[in-house]
Amino acid sequence: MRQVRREQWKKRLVVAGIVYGAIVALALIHLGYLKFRERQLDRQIERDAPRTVFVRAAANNWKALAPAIDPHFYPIEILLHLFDSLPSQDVRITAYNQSAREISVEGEANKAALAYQFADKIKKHPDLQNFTFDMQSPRILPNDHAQFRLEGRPR
Amino acid sequence: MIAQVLQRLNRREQILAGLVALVVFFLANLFLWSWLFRAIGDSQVEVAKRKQARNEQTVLLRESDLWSKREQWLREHQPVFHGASDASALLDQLKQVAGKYSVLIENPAIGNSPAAGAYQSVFASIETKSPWPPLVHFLYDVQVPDAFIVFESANIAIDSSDPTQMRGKFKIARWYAPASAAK
Repeated sequence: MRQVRREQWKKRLVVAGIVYGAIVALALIHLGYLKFRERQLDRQIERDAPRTVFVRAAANNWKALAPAIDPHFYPIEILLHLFDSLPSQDVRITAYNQSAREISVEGEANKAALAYQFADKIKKHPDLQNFTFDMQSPRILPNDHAQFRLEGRPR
Repeated sequence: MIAQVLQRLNRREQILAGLVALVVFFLANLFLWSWLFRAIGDSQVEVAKRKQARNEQTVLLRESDLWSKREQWLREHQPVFHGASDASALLDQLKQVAGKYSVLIENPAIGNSPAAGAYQSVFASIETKSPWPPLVHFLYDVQVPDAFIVFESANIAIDSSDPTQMRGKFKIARWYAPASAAK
Protein backbone atom coordinates (compact mmCIF):
# COMPACT_ATOMS: atom_id res chain seq x y z
CA MET A 1 0.00 0.00 0.00
CA ARG A 2 2.77 2.39 1.01
CA GLN A 3 4.78 1.41 -2.10
CA VAL A 4 1.75 2.20 -4.32
CA ARG A 5 1.31 5.64 -2.75
CA ARG A 6 5.01 6.33 -3.20
CA GLU A 7 4.75 5.39 -6.91
CA GLN A 8 1.73 7.69 -7.28
CA TRP A 9 3.65 10.59 -5.72
CA LYS A 10 6.61 9.90 -8.02
CA LYS A 11 4.31 10.09 -11.05
CA ARG A 12 2.79 13.34 -9.78
CA LEU A 13 6.27 14.80 -9.24
CA VAL A 14 7.35 13.82 -12.75
CA VAL A 15 4.21 15.43 -14.26
CA ALA A 16 4.78 18.59 -12.17
CA GLY A 17 8.42 18.62 -13.31
CA ILE A 18 7.40 18.35 -16.97
CA VAL A 19 4.82 21.16 -16.61
CA TYR A 20 7.34 23.33 -14.79
CA GLY A 21 9.99 22.65 -17.44
CA ALA A 22 7.48 23.53 -20.19
CA ILE A 23 6.67 26.85 -18.50
CA VAL A 24 10.38 27.69 -18.19
CA ALA A 25 10.92 26.66 -21.83
CA LEU A 26 8.01 28.87 -22.98
CA ALA A 27 9.41 31.84 -21.07
CA LEU A 28 12.85 31.25 -22.63
CA ILE A 29 11.32 30.93 -26.11
CA HIS A 30 9.44 34.21 -25.55
CA LEU A 31 12.68 35.90 -24.47
CA GLY A 32 14.47 34.47 -27.50
CA TYR A 33 11.72 35.77 -29.81
CA LEU A 34 11.99 39.24 -28.27
CA LYS A 35 15.77 39.27 -28.78
CA PHE A 36 15.30 38.10 -32.37
CA ARG A 37 12.69 40.82 -33.02
CA GLU A 38 15.01 43.44 -31.48
CA ARG A 39 17.83 42.44 -33.85
CA GLN A 40 15.46 42.27 -36.83
CA LEU A 41 14.19 45.82 -36.15
CA ASP A 42 17.77 47.03 -35.64
CA ARG A 43 18.73 45.68 -39.06
CA GLN A 44 15.69 47.31 -40.72
CA ILE A 45 16.37 50.65 -39.02
CA GLU A 46 20.06 50.51 -39.96
CA ARG A 47 19.24 49.58 -43.57
CA ASP A 48 16.92 52.57 -44.08
CA ALA A 49 18.85 55.07 -41.94
CA PRO A 50 20.59 56.89 -44.85
CA ARG A 51 17.26 57.54 -46.62
CA THR A 52 15.68 58.72 -43.36
CA VAL A 53 18.60 61.07 -42.69
CA PHE A 54 18.17 62.49 -46.19
CA VAL A 55 14.42 63.05 -45.69
CA ARG A 56 14.97 64.74 -42.32
CA ALA A 57 17.68 67.01 -43.76
CA ALA A 58 15.53 67.89 -46.78
CA ALA A 59 12.54 68.67 -44.53
CA ASN A 60 14.66 70.89 -42.26
CA ASN A 61 16.12 72.68 -45.27
CA TRP A 62 12.64 73.24 -46.72
CA LYS A 63 11.41 74.56 -43.38
CA ALA A 64 14.37 76.95 -43.13
CA LEU A 65 13.62 78.29 -46.60
CA ALA A 66 9.85 78.51 -46.00
CA PRO A 67 9.74 82.35 -45.81
CA ALA A 68 11.13 82.40 -49.37
CA ILE A 69 9.25 79.53 -50.98
CA ASP A 70 6.02 79.06 -49.02
CA PRO A 71 3.45 81.71 -49.95
CA HIS A 72 1.79 81.23 -46.54
CA PHE A 73 4.60 83.39 -45.16
CA TYR A 74 4.41 86.12 -47.84
CA PRO A 75 3.17 89.52 -46.58
CA ILE A 76 0.79 89.85 -49.53
CA GLU A 77 -0.85 86.49 -48.72
CA ILE A 78 -1.09 87.25 -45.02
CA LEU A 79 -2.53 90.71 -45.71
CA LEU A 80 -5.10 89.17 -48.04
CA HIS A 81 -6.22 86.74 -45.34
CA LEU A 82 -6.27 89.50 -42.73
CA PHE A 83 -8.52 91.64 -44.92
CA ASP A 84 -10.70 88.58 -45.61
CA SER A 85 -11.17 88.27 -41.87
CA LEU A 86 -12.37 91.84 -41.24
CA PRO A 87 -15.88 91.38 -39.81
CA SER A 88 -17.14 94.72 -41.14
CA GLN A 89 -16.04 98.11 -42.44
CA ASP A 90 -16.05 99.30 -38.84
CA VAL A 91 -12.74 97.50 -38.30
CA ARG A 92 -9.66 99.00 -39.90
CA ILE A 93 -6.06 97.82 -40.02
CA THR A 94 -3.75 100.78 -39.39
CA ALA A 95 -0.33 99.15 -39.25
CA TYR A 96 1.22 95.84 -40.22
CA ASN A 97 4.65 94.58 -39.16
CA GLN A 98 6.32 91.37 -40.23
CA SER A 99 9.71 89.86 -39.66
CA ALA A 100 10.80 86.66 -41.43
CA ARG A 101 8.37 84.63 -39.32
CA GLU A 102 6.52 86.90 -36.89
CA ILE A 103 3.75 89.34 -37.58
CA SER A 104 1.86 92.01 -35.71
CA VAL A 105 -1.27 93.85 -36.77
CA GLU A 106 -2.52 97.10 -35.28
CA GLY A 107 -5.96 98.46 -35.93
CA GLU A 108 -9.01 100.27 -34.75
CA ALA A 109 -12.60 99.10 -34.41
CA ASN A 110 -15.75 101.07 -33.67
CA LYS A 111 -16.50 98.67 -30.81
CA ALA A 112 -14.28 96.39 -28.72
CA ALA A 113 -16.54 93.44 -29.60
CA LEU A 114 -15.64 93.87 -33.26
CA ALA A 115 -11.95 93.70 -32.41
CA TYR A 116 -12.51 90.39 -30.61
CA GLN A 117 -14.59 89.16 -33.55
CA PHE A 118 -11.73 90.03 -35.91
CA ALA A 119 -9.22 88.19 -33.69
CA ASP A 120 -11.47 85.11 -33.60
CA LYS A 121 -11.83 85.04 -37.37
CA ILE A 122 -8.07 85.32 -37.81
CA LYS A 123 -7.44 82.49 -35.37
CA LYS A 124 -9.86 80.27 -37.28
CA HIS A 125 -8.74 81.25 -40.79
CA PRO A 126 -7.51 78.06 -42.51
CA ASP A 127 -4.70 79.84 -44.37
CA LEU A 128 -3.31 81.47 -41.23
CA GLN A 129 -2.89 78.25 -39.30
CA ASN A 130 0.93 78.52 -39.59
CA PHE A 131 0.69 81.18 -36.87
CA THR A 132 -0.78 81.36 -33.41
CA PHE A 133 -2.35 84.74 -32.79
CA ASP A 134 -2.73 86.55 -29.49
CA MET A 135 -4.52 89.80 -28.82
CA GLN A 136 -4.09 91.87 -25.70
CA SER A 137 -7.15 93.67 -24.36
CA PRO A 138 -8.04 96.50 -26.75
CA ARG A 139 -7.45 100.07 -25.58
CA ILE A 140 -10.64 102.10 -25.45
CA LEU A 141 -10.20 105.55 -27.01
CA PRO A 142 -12.08 108.73 -25.90
CA ASN A 143 -14.46 108.31 -28.88
CA ASP A 144 -15.31 104.77 -27.66
CA HIS A 145 -13.37 103.16 -30.49
CA ALA A 146 -11.13 100.24 -29.60
CA GLN A 147 -7.48 100.20 -30.55
CA PHE A 148 -6.11 96.66 -30.81
CA ARG A 149 -2.88 94.85 -31.50
CA LEU A 150 -2.61 91.23 -32.65
CA GLU A 151 0.62 89.26 -32.59
CA GLY A 152 1.21 86.14 -34.61
CA ARG A 153 4.01 83.69 -34.03
CA PRO A 154 4.79 80.60 -36.08
CA ARG A 155 3.51 77.34 -34.69
CA MET B 1 21.31 6.75 -6.95
CA ILE B 2 19.35 9.45 -5.10
CA ALA B 3 16.75 6.88 -4.08
CA GLN B 4 19.46 4.65 -2.60
CA VAL B 5 20.93 7.53 -0.63
CA LEU B 6 17.45 8.50 0.63
CA GLN B 7 16.70 4.92 1.74
CA ARG B 8 19.84 4.90 3.87
CA LEU B 9 18.62 7.99 5.75
CA ASN B 10 16.30 7.72 8.73
CA ARG B 11 12.90 9.46 8.84
CA ARG B 12 14.12 12.70 10.44
CA GLU B 13 17.06 12.94 8.04
CA GLN B 14 14.70 12.39 5.12
CA ILE B 15 12.46 15.27 6.31
CA LEU B 16 15.48 17.51 6.77
CA ALA B 17 16.85 16.61 3.30
CA GLY B 18 13.40 17.36 1.85
CA LEU B 19 13.33 20.76 3.55
CA VAL B 20 16.83 21.59 2.28
CA ALA B 21 15.82 20.51 -1.23
CA LEU B 22 12.70 22.71 -1.02
CA VAL B 23 14.71 25.76 0.09
CA VAL B 24 17.28 25.21 -2.68
CA PHE B 25 14.46 24.77 -5.23
CA PHE B 26 12.74 27.94 -3.95
CA LEU B 27 15.96 30.00 -4.13
CA ALA B 28 16.85 28.67 -7.58
CA ASN B 29 13.33 29.61 -8.77
CA LEU B 30 13.58 33.03 -7.23
CA PHE B 31 16.82 33.65 -9.10
CA LEU B 32 15.61 32.10 -12.37
CA TRP B 33 12.23 33.87 -12.53
CA SER B 34 13.49 37.25 -11.39
CA TRP B 35 16.15 37.06 -14.12
CA LEU B 36 13.61 35.88 -16.71
CA PHE B 37 11.01 38.55 -15.86
CA ARG B 38 13.63 41.28 -15.86
CA ALA B 39 15.10 40.12 -19.18
CA ILE B 40 11.64 39.82 -20.79
CA GLY B 41 10.57 43.23 -19.42
CA ASP B 42 13.75 44.92 -20.68
CA SER B 43 13.43 43.27 -24.10
CA GLN B 44 9.79 44.31 -24.39
CA VAL B 45 10.77 47.94 -23.68
CA GLU B 46 13.60 47.75 -26.26
CA VAL B 47 11.32 46.21 -28.89
CA ALA B 48 8.67 48.88 -28.25
CA LYS B 49 11.30 51.64 -28.67
CA ARG B 50 12.55 50.14 -31.91
CA LYS B 51 9.01 49.65 -33.21
CA GLN B 52 8.30 53.33 -32.60
CA ALA B 53 11.54 54.33 -34.34
CA ARG B 54 10.68 52.02 -37.21
CA ASN B 55 7.16 53.49 -37.51
CA GLU B 56 8.61 57.01 -37.65
CA GLN B 57 11.05 55.80 -40.28
CA THR B 58 8.21 54.27 -42.30
CA VAL B 59 6.31 57.57 -42.31
CA LEU B 60 9.44 59.42 -43.45
CA LEU B 61 10.21 56.83 -46.12
CA ARG B 62 6.67 57.07 -47.44
CA GLU B 63 7.36 60.78 -48.08
CA SER B 64 10.84 60.27 -49.51
CA ASP B 65 9.69 60.80 -53.12
CA LEU B 66 8.15 64.14 -52.19
CA TRP B 67 11.31 65.27 -50.39
CA SER B 68 13.54 64.08 -53.25
CA LYS B 69 11.47 66.16 -55.67
CA ARG B 70 11.59 69.19 -53.36
CA GLU B 71 15.36 68.82 -52.94
CA GLN B 72 15.75 68.60 -56.70
CA TRP B 73 13.51 71.65 -57.19
CA LEU B 74 15.69 73.59 -54.75
CA ARG B 75 18.87 72.52 -56.57
CA GLU B 76 17.39 73.63 -59.89
CA HIS B 77 15.78 76.88 -58.79
CA GLN B 78 17.66 78.36 -55.83
CA PRO B 79 19.86 81.08 -57.35
CA VAL B 80 23.63 80.85 -57.15
CA PHE B 81 25.44 83.57 -55.23
CA HIS B 82 27.82 85.61 -57.39
CA GLY B 83 29.04 88.17 -54.90
CA ALA B 84 28.23 91.54 -53.38
CA SER B 85 26.99 92.80 -56.75
CA ASP B 86 23.87 90.66 -56.28
CA ALA B 87 22.64 93.18 -53.68
CA SER B 88 22.70 95.98 -56.20
CA ALA B 89 20.93 93.74 -58.75
CA LEU B 90 18.23 93.07 -56.16
CA LEU B 91 17.77 96.80 -55.55
CA ASP B 92 17.54 97.43 -59.30
CA GLN B 93 14.87 94.75 -59.57
CA LEU B 94 12.88 96.34 -56.71
CA LYS B 95 13.18 99.78 -58.31
CA GLN B 96 11.95 98.36 -61.60
CA VAL B 97 8.85 96.78 -60.00
CA ALA B 98 8.18 99.93 -57.94
CA GLY B 99 8.48 102.08 -61.07
CA LYS B 100 5.94 99.89 -62.86
CA TYR B 101 3.29 100.75 -60.23
CA SER B 102 4.46 104.30 -59.41
CA VAL B 103 5.55 103.35 -55.91
CA LEU B 104 8.01 105.95 -54.63
CA ILE B 105 11.22 104.46 -53.17
CA GLU B 106 13.14 106.40 -50.53
CA ASN B 107 16.35 105.77 -48.56
CA PRO B 108 17.52 102.66 -50.39
CA ALA B 109 20.41 100.70 -48.88
CA ILE B 110 22.04 97.39 -49.71
CA GLY B 111 24.17 94.86 -47.86
CA ASN B 112 25.17 91.24 -47.30
CA SER B 113 23.67 89.17 -44.53
CA PRO B 114 25.70 86.59 -42.62
CA ALA B 115 25.35 83.14 -44.21
CA ALA B 116 22.90 80.71 -42.63
CA GLY B 117 22.93 76.92 -43.03
CA ALA B 118 20.37 76.73 -45.83
CA TYR B 119 21.27 79.90 -47.71
CA GLN B 120 23.54 82.93 -48.12
CA SER B 121 21.83 86.23 -48.70
CA VAL B 122 21.98 89.84 -49.74
CA PHE B 123 19.42 92.45 -48.82
CA ALA B 124 18.04 95.78 -49.89
CA SER B 125 16.33 98.13 -47.43
CA ILE B 126 13.82 100.56 -48.84
CA GLU B 127 11.09 102.89 -47.69
CA THR B 128 8.07 103.34 -49.91
CA LYS B 129 5.28 105.85 -50.26
CA SER B 130 2.24 105.11 -52.37
CA PRO B 131 -1.51 104.61 -52.24
CA TRP B 132 -2.66 101.16 -51.08
CA PRO B 133 -3.48 99.48 -54.46
CA PRO B 134 -0.03 100.07 -56.06
CA LEU B 135 1.64 98.84 -52.88
CA VAL B 136 -0.38 95.62 -53.10
CA HIS B 137 0.72 95.14 -56.73
CA PHE B 138 4.31 95.84 -55.71
CA LEU B 139 4.22 93.24 -52.93
CA TYR B 140 2.54 90.73 -55.24
CA ASP B 141 5.09 91.11 -58.04
CA VAL B 142 8.20 91.11 -55.87
CA GLN B 143 7.71 87.78 -54.15
CA VAL B 144 7.21 84.52 -56.04
CA PRO B 145 8.50 81.11 -54.90
CA ASP B 146 11.26 80.67 -57.48
CA ALA B 147 12.63 84.19 -56.90
CA PHE B 148 13.75 83.22 -53.36
CA ILE B 149 12.95 86.72 -52.15
CA VAL B 150 12.08 87.18 -48.50
CA PHE B 151 10.66 90.14 -46.63
CA GLU B 152 12.97 89.86 -43.63
CA SER B 153 11.01 92.76 -42.21
CA ALA B 154 7.98 94.65 -43.48
CA ASN B 155 6.34 97.60 -41.75
CA ILE B 156 3.31 99.11 -43.41
CA ALA B 157 1.29 101.95 -41.94
CA ILE B 158 -1.03 104.72 -43.01
CA ASP B 159 0.90 107.94 -43.62
CA SER B 160 0.12 110.21 -40.67
CA SER B 161 0.38 113.36 -42.83
CA ASP B 162 -1.73 111.99 -45.71
CA PRO B 163 -4.22 109.19 -44.93
CA THR B 164 -4.58 108.34 -48.65
CA GLN B 165 -0.94 107.23 -48.72
CA MET B 166 0.74 104.19 -47.22
CA ARG B 167 4.24 104.26 -45.80
CA GLY B 168 6.25 101.08 -46.11
CA LYS B 169 9.62 100.17 -44.65
CA PHE B 170 11.04 96.92 -45.97
CA LYS B 171 14.16 94.84 -45.63
CA ILE B 172 14.01 92.54 -48.62
CA ALA B 173 16.53 89.75 -49.07
CA ARG B 174 17.29 87.17 -51.70
CA TRP B 175 18.31 83.79 -50.33
CA TYR B 176 20.94 82.14 -52.52
CA ALA B 177 22.08 78.51 -52.46
CA PRO B 178 24.55 77.86 -49.64
CA ALA B 179 28.23 77.83 -50.56
CA SER B 180 28.38 74.05 -49.95
CA ALA B 181 25.65 73.44 -52.56
CA ALA B 182 27.29 75.65 -55.17
CA LYS B 183 30.52 73.56 -55.18
